[in-house]
Amino acid sequence: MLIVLSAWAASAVRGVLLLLLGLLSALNVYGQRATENDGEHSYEPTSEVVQTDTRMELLLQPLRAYPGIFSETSQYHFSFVRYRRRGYDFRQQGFSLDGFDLTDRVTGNPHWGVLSALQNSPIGAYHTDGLRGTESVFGAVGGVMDFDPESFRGVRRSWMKAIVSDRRFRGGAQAGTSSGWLPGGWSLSTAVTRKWGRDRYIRGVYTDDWFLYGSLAKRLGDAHQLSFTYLQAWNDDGVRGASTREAFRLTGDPLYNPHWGYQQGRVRSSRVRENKQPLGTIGWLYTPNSRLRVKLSLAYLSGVSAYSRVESLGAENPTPDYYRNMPGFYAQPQVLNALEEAWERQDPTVTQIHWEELYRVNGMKEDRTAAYVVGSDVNCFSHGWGNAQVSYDLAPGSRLYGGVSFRDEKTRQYRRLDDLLGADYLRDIDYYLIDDEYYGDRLHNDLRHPDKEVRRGGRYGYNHDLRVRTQGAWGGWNLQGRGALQGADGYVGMKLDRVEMCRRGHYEKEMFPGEASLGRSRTLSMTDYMIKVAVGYSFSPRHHLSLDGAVGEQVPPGEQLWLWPDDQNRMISQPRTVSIVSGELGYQSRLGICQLQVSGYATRTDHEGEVRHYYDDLEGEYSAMELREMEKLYAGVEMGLRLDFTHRWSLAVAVACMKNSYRNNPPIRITTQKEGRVVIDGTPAYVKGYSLGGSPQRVAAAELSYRGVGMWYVSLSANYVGDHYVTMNPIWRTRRVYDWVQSPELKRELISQERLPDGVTLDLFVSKTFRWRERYLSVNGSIHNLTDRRTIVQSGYEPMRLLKKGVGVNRTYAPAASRYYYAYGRTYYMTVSFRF
Amino acid sequence: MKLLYIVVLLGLVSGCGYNSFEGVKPATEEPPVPNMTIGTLRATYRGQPIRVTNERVVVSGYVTTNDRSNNFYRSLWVEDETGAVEVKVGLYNSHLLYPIGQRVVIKPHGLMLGMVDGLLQLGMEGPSSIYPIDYMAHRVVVDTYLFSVKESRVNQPRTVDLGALQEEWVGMLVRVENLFLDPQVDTTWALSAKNAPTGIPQSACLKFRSVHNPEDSIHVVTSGYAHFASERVPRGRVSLTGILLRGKVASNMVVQLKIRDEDDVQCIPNAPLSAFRISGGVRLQDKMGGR
Repeated sequence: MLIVLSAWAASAVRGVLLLLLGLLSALNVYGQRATENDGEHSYEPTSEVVQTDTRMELLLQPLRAYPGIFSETSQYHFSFVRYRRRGYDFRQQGFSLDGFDLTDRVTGNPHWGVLSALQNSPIGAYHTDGLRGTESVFGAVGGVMDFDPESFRGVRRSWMKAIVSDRRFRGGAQAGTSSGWLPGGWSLSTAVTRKWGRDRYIRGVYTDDWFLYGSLAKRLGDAHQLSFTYLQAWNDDGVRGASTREAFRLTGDPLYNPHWGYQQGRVRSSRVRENKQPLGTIGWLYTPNSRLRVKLSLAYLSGVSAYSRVESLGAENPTPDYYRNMPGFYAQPQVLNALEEAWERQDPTVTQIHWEELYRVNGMKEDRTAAYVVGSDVNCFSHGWGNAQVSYDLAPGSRLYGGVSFRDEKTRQYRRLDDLLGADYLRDIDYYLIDDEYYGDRLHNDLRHPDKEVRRGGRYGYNHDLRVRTQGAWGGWNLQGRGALQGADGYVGMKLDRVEMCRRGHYEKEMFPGEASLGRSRTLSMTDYMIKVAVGYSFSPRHHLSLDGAVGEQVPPGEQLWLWPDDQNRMISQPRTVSIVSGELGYQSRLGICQLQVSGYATRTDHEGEVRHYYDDLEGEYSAMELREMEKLYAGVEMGLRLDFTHRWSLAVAVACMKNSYRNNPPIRITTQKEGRVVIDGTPAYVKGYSLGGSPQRVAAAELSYRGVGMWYVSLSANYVGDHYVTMNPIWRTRRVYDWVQSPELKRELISQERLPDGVTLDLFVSKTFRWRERYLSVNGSIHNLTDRRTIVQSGYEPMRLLKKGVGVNRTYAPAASRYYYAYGRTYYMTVSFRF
Repeated sequence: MKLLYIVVLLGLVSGCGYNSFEGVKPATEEPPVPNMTIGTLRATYRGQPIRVTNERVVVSGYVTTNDRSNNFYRSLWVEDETGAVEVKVGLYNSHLLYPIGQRVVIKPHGLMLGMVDGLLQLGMEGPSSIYPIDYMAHRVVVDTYLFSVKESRVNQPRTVDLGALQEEWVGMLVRVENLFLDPQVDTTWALSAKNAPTGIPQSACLKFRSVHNPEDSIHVVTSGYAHFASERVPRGRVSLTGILLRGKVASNMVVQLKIRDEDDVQCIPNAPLSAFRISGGVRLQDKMGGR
């Protein structure tokens, strides 16, 4: 099947598209209105009680739905590792609110704060699989998750919920109400959610979150509806960091977190994520009759997201697991032993950030400038969207939909000084240049404000806008066969976006004076398009076969198109779009107690680029690595099975096997930051055949559930992940590095890709609901990783650094230690909710 | 049900501030009490590197130089009125932890005590007899032996006469007055990467002679990595402050001076070059014992 899918590549898809268009329009196909894209496994609301943290949060949101057994069963069971469905990155997945694409075109990541607020709101989310989109979200090839405020508009309900957990946070509360449609045509929904507390197992991890949701709608006559929606996330979360095996071994703690330390006896985190993102939408819905639906909507997102870290300014790196701070770096037995002993007894001044030492160093400086500060990389949003959508039933079983959209996303990126750690001020200069023989006289980060003294809350380092403007249109045609083609269905759709991007520097960096850093860069224009087509056929009401295909070009995120977006207006050497070809063959059946879903898919991406910034140990300079013309293949098979033995007992199984790999040896270009010198250009990275890493390639979950009398529900699930590889560093697979490594063992270490151990967990979920007329009290509890397996690696990656041994011609290099996150041991999550 | 109301309401209004901090109070830990001078410690050295096994030995002194200007590498020089010792801390940016003038207390129990070219050294056991004293390399090790005291001073260099140098002054901060560069050429203190033909910084050793007694000379050694390596050496009469050392130049043991930064060079105006009488130098190690 995979071979067939692979062969069904770009040219064939284009041919098939044209052929199907012709066929479908030539045949007089009619059928009942296809209200959803997904035929038999449509977006029917599921009222099933769900099992994990997030699923339990959705308990009061029964409209969330999954398109298939695999999605439903797998969605949260693999959350103990970093699992991405089919191995796709976020660019291949669609996240939207009422048709507004929530993927930030500047960074390529979703707006996490907004998504968190949506997850904690009462509105429903529709999920689609693979290539399928919705009428309002075209999507890419990794499915979409579309939140629709209309889904909750007519529900009249109030609720309160209390949450207790030991993972990430300790307590939570939510209260909300929805009026339903009131006389006079008003509808109001509000919800406020609060989560707080320190993680029980990982020090330095804490949650201090607020989420607010409000939506107001007014019906104007029979055909018009005006609506306003407001979302707000205030998040302040301490996060954990990856570390090396050496650190885990010495501390004996697989959940060791290097990103905290004691300050006056209290735990202080150095890595804090902050989101303050308000989002407002206004929409006008026009439904003159049951066949036509028109919607015009506008949205605006503002606020900031920030991520903090300790910055050393001409001082030693205070990160406790920095390679020079680890025992393994030292050959002297006395030093090694002393360090090992300190790590083993978990001396917090060694294994954690020594905050008081940072204060001491700052306090001893004669000029009272800072040697250490806490600063945040800030994204400040000013994003606007506009959508006009229309859908129309041409005939029973034939539905047209589409729309036009524009987006204007301006993101100001800068560093913000959060804490001077006892110093009086910070000099806004490039501290890495201070000792530079050649450029030590070009220190100023902003020539227009030389020697600026920065104090708390001030901006420093870099300051620029990245702006992405998108105008586009999309459309589709859903068809359901009738008559001779009874049982056939299909759709065809296309999306076309014109994307313009530019950078505007607000600092004139002395190292890159004038237009090299200040002012507007040239504007880059690209076209993003995708064509999708699908056909399906139900051989009987119990068997359905479908074939989906897509071809397109995708514009990379704005940040990936500038070589040094923080400092310079210089673009990467060959900016271009990513080509995507994808196909999927699916089969669903329902036989007696058994429901089965099987799908095979293959997606190939070509001409993909990537920029990574890192310290190049061979060159001894901070550099940018451009990977160009990458070819990747994502191919696999997914199977979902549900056996309803009785109306009380059921078993759901989800299994997926995939192969996500590099398909070529992409050329690398390395450019130094200071001089812009091209170190290598065109040198291949020998990565062909390596796994993409970052997500397991074999997963399986089986969930046995029992629905008892009196609204009891119990389920036990077993979850497995395997074929899990660390995310690879392409630099190590170049001759440039390989030739510097001498021993065969190190060479093997350099070119091999570590496979992480397979992982298995057991999860238990218990729920009991009490009912008094229309009031419900639910008590739900779940235990994850029942057997407390603490050796499961959540994810891992290879750093970009190399460790030098020896000097001059006798120097050699070894790869720096990979970094890992381990999965939690046994944790619990409990909610008590009251609905009235 | 009321309980649930209360829990939810309390939860919604609860505040946290998990990561809000206001400065730190200074540490109150007392360092060990010194009971020996550096001069006495020096006197215990018997010609071979030795591990200090007496845990009661505690010396104290003031930091006279560090790696602030990159001319001194990974070491601190600590002196009291009786002598000086190089503490091979092996830290980068140690000037931030141990600024010049800072008083430190050293508890050398477990450290190796050695002497190279008359310079007393404290550090870890080196890999060979050629390199007997090694760096401590990490703060964890350094903190075992070296303690900062909340006390500092402005170091006053000992003004010395080239003709009357003493062996026990090696490693101390000294000031030598009325010198001139010999020969009087336009040069820099060392060859920084920018000036070196290979692109690799190179040290330089410049000979200065006494104006009053040109037979007495001292060699100023400067690392190519020093911040001031590319700066021009002043011509004319100068006074130099730096750490007194001994070292070899062309197989001859000579007296050396290592300045800390440009502030250690004081030009004396109105002293024309023609006033200097330049003649052959004298090997001053003979006057210092030359051990």
